Amino acid sequence: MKYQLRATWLVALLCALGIMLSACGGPYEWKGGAVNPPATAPDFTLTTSDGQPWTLSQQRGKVVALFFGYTYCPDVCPTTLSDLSKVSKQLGGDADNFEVAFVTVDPERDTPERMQKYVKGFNTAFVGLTGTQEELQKVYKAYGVYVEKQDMPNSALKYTVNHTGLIYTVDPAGKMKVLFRPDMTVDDMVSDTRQLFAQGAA
Amino acid sequence: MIYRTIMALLFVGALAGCGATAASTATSSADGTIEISGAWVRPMEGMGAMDAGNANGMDMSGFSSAAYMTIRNTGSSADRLLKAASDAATTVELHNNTNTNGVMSMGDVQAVDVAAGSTVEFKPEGLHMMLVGLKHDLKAGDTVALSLQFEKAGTVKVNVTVRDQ
Repeated sequence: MKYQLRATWLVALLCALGIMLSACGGPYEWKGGAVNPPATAPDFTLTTSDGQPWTLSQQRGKVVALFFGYTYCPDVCPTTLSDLSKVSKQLGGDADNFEVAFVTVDPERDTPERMQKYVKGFNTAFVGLTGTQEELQKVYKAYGVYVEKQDMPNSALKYTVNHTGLIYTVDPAGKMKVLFRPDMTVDDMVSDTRQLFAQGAA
Repeated sequence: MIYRTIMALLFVGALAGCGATAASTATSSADGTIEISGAWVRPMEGMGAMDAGNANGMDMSGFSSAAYMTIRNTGSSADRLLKAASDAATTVELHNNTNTNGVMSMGDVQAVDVAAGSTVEFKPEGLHMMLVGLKHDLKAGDTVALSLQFEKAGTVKVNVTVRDQ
């Protein structure tokens, strides 16, 4: 009888603990690809399409979504930028602290003017980043972004650029905890972004 | 007065009904073997117009967009989509995207086979028709005329609505 009572208490205690854990946020399961252990996002400075220097480490307090692409990309890049714009809208008040930066993988053709029009076309708050070939190569390397020019002799484009389609999210403390795949749903991206804000504030 | 409001609402309802019907109606080739449905073109317009509706008339000509649709071959012999053209772009190219271990590649496709009785989907992050060198902005609600040339079914003209997915 006494033993039974103790077991009941134990179950109750475990339940309470479980509830407490989930209330405290518990272990959140990332919808995107978790970075284990979280890595410090390599710092860099590039130039925005309106000619201002942009440094990653100066974005602390914000969640930064870095996406690599090019303006002649008609399908995957617009899909991703359009999704990120929807994420930004769903974040509501946090949208001001959600910085989307589109880094060119085609500096040859992506002039600042062209970048400005393209990126701002999706969301006026988004920034387009470019730089010299050397500056950009360093960033690609630091983030493990694969960039390869591919000739298309039969196309009006002459060439396209194969590139890593991941979205690198940097939390308010400058850490990378999760990466977004371009095929993730907007809701999943919103969920992970909110989590980055919540953990960043803790 | 109320009568007029009801009539106005009914009228709008009827219009919306028409729109929905038009959108779901497939366009067929002259010989009836090729059927195009669910076609749409991605908007491309200046300065946040897509997210905030605050178009400031920034010209996006020279940029590109993509057209998506479902092509069904209801005939008994195989056909091929050879090329596409549009009044809205300098050239229209058939492209395919592939994702290899997270690396996105885009390549041109010479022709797209549509086997007898089969369906080919042009959709985001896959097969698409790239509108290269837009002649003007593409705003949601606009219509783009596309002309698709098939090996057997001949030319199929489709009016495609610009919309955000």
